[in-house]
Amino acid sequence: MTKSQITNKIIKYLVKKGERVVWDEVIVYDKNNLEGETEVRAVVEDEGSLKLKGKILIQKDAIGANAFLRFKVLLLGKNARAEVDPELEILTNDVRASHAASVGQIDLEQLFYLMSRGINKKESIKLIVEAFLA
Amino acid sequence: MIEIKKMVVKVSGKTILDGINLTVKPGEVVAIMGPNGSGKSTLAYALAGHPKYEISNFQFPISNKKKKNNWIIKLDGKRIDDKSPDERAKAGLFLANQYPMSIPGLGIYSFLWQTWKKRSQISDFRSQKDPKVMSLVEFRKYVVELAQSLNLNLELLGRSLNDGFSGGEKKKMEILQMLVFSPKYLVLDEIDSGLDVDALKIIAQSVAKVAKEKNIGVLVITHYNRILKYLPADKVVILEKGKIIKTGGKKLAEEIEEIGYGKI
Amino acid sequence: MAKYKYGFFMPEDNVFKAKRGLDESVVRIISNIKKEPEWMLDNRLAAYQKFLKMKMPSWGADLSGIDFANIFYYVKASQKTEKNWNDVPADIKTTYDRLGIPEAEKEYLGGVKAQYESEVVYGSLMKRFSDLGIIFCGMDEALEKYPKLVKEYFGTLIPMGDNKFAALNTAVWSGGSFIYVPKNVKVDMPLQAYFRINSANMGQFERTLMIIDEGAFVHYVEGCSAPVYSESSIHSAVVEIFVKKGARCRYTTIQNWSTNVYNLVTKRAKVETDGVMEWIDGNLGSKITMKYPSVVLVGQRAHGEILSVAVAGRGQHQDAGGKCIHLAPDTTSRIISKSISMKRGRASYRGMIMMAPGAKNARSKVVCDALILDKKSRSDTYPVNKINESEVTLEHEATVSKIGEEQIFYLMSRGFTDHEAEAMIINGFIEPIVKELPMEYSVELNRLINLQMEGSVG
Repeated sequence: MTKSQITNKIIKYLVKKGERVVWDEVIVYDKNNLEGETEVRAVVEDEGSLKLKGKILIQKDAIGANAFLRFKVLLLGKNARAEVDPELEILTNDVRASHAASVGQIDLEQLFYLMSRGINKKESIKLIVEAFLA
Repeated sequence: MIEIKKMVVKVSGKTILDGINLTVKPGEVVAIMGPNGSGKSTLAYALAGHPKYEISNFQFPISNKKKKNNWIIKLDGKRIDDKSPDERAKAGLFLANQYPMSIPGLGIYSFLWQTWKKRSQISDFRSQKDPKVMSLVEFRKYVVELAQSLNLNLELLGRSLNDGFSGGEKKKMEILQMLVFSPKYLVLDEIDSGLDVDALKIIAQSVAKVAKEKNIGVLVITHYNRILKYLPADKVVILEKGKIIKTGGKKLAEEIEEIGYGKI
Repeated sequence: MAKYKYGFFMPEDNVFKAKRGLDESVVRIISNIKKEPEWMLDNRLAAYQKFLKMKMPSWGADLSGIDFANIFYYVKASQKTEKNWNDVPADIKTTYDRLGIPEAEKEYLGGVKAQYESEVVYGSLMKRFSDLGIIFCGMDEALEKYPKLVKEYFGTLIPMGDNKFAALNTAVWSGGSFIYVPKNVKVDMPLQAYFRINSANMGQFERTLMIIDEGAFVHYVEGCSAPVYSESSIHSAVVEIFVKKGARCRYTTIQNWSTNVYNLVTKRAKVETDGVMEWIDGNLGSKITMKYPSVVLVGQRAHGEILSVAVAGRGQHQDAGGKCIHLAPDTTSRIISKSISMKRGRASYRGMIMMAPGAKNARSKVVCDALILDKKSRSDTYPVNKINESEVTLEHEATVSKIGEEQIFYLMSRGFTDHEAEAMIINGFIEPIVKELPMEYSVELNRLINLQMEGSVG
């Protein structure tokens, strides 16, 4: 696991067909009053494989920490695969730490909406993916 | 009577209220008005004993605070500025919050019942409902009656405290709690903010009625004159930048409505 | 079973009664005393060999303190009655008083009495169940009376090689419940482990097997929230549940073992088409608990739920959570975990959601909330979500925080002390799970947690 800086950041991946992407980081809070939000967004194409493993570690002397980690994964194509493991290790109590992870496919409502405006399916999916990773 | 003597209130070292003198008599309605940032809500929290608000006295340094005469807030002759929030509540003070907390999982009936049981242990507790002793079933009926008098949707009573409530519903919930609690002194912290016309009327009238019946001293903190139309004030106090700049009767509130705070 | 009460033992018994530690002879004697069929003895021996060979888990809580050589692997009921009320730790006795537990029950929980004298009360209930065709008896008895049924299912969901402690249990298991509910029978009141009065309840190596036939329903409750003193430091139970087509099973456990106990449990349910499995898991006691109730959703539209509440106090590590394996389309799962750590305790959520290829339209939601009451306590979340099917949905959320100051002030301004305010907030925090418990348990659980919190402020 690589150690990250505490900043607000969004990391984006487009995992192409046949690719394997691994993001494995520990975000360490070791001083008072550190705040940070990390979001990893990824789209996984058919036959692509993704592993997102992130740990927020808040140590004993990191009072007032405010930490947030989010994974958002869109699976495209029948054989897209993903593993998402958001972890928390919190060693003191005067903090706020949360994480969220969601994995799903293209929202059919969004797809229908774009197609009903005359955009073909392939193009619509492309637009939705672009918006997701914007 | 609530007596506040030369009170200074600091938050994180910054002075918000700078030497407040104020009294509220039983049965009296005192309105605290002022522009945003004048320190109105700070007054409410300081009175209720919120730990973030440091109270000191204009004249005496903090180190002398413990001396008997260096009281800053008294309630019915007893000093309360050195007491915790629950002790002040036990003394009969009730704060209706501007931003009421929600507590997921804490059922409303259960919470009100516990509140009422605690209050009824106090010897001079004058309950809305006599006799003082009620069974759980009677209590539930009583709560439903009170909720109906406030036009509060009864379905809400089955939920957790303030969980998922709209702003207006939360304010009504504060008043419902107040009616169950039956205080001697009531502080309304901007209860009118975010309320529609009908809700404001019902709440203000409800407060006016019970205050009169039970001789409750009321401190109404508000920005606007609206609420005072249904809850008439005996005394109006204007706060600006942490100091009281003007005191008057009902007419003062009407003046503000017409010409604004800047001109006072 | 009755023969134990009157001290009628086979000669070998007296020899190993005082023997600690485990070897093949102990396994043979256990099987011998129970007069088990050969296949079970073979099973035990094979499991013992597996246990010797398998490694300790490389993850989870710290199990280095387990001293396998120093425990009794078979404790007979009579041995239990040798204990004296004076031997029960003082803090446990105090808790019983505070909870208002009746005298007779105290002795049972304290391990002083072998069984709770309640044959009269429960006898008629048991008759009602058997009239419906329900089998509810101890596992030992089931092996004797229904050997074919037991053999068909035993060890098929949790094989001896599943993990080192499953192997241990398979080698030395004793006691536990066997339940069979016939097709379409819906049991209208919870079956409680207490009802099984003729076996030693709350044993160290209980083995439970439940089969809920098509369209049936049962709610089984084991354990209790009052603290239970156990001399044995390892409790390693195995529970296998088979939920057939359209059936539903709810399994509620509250454990409050004394803080010398390592509580290492393997629990798994297999759920067929349109079946529902609900695990309700309360972990209050023990020094270390490692327990992850699991559901394997093999049939279409099968549903699994795990509701878990864990309280970790001084010297405790609760490592708990759940696993949901989606093997069929349209399956759904939900995990709600609430944990509280205080006084240097550590609560960890460990979970797994797996969606296999072919589990189209599967959906899962996991919510973990943790409260840490003071700055010396700890909370962790270790979720693993393996998605090997693209047409699925997974949501996972976790939050860790302390009790909000504003909430405390709000309740104090209503006349509650800071302790009372904390207790109210905590009760509200665990309410979604507590409300699923049978009434007596929820009342006891709330009071217990409040008791445990005393002295935790400041």
